[in-house]
Amino acid sequence: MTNLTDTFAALSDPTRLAVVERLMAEGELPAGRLVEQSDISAPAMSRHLKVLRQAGFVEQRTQGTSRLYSVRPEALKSISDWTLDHRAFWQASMDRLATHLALQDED
Amino acid sequence: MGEVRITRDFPVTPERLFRAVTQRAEVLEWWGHDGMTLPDTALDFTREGPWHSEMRDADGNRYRMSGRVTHVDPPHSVGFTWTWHLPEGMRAPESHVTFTVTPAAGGARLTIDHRDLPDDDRAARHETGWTSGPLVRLARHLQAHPH
Repeated sequence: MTNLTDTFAALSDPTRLAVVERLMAEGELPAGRLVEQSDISAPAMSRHLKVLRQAGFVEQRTQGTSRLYSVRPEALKSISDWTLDHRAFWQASMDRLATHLALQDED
Repeated sequence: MGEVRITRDFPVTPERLFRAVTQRAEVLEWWGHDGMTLPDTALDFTREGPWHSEMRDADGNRYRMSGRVTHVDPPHSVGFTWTWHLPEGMRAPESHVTFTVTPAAGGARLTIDHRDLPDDDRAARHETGWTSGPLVRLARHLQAHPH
């Protein structure tokens, strides 16, 4: 499972969050395209992408001479499941409440 | 995010169901997802005032949330505010939860309503700078593009 602390630390920067949002919206992109539409330098973008990769947020593959970046769905799912999806939390809790009440009845 | 309503019927009396969703020892039995432990919790919904809960999964990830019990009307309903504490000191916007217990055929019905609080949302965003805003945007994006 993705480490959530790293995941959130990686997102706690507006530039990195913008990169993630862009990759979610547009799909796989080369680093050059990410630099073109931001106001930071290529080395700075490279550092941000490294942080996002280390946090498991984006993955990189090489095609010819270019490096392509994309979002890893697993990292997004960990956020959606555990911290922001109230419905998933309460449905899981209702299941366990039903089990708890059934077990109590047997006592 | 947004409004969530979940309803389920249980083959117990309303009084029994209300105890199960408000008394600390019982809430600990069902709060959260399977496989979580609750090393540090104050989950007493029998009286107004603050509550908090920390859940830990098998990988050691910690999920902390807290709020304040806003009303207790046994054996009918209890309400409390809810905020996720995210790592790196980020806090999600505050929301509000209501448990409503009503008689149902063969037992009792629990309705859980979980709603955003627009005013507190803005207040929380103000307190934490930009951090809650982007998370809210991300959550909305994930809802719109789940795959």
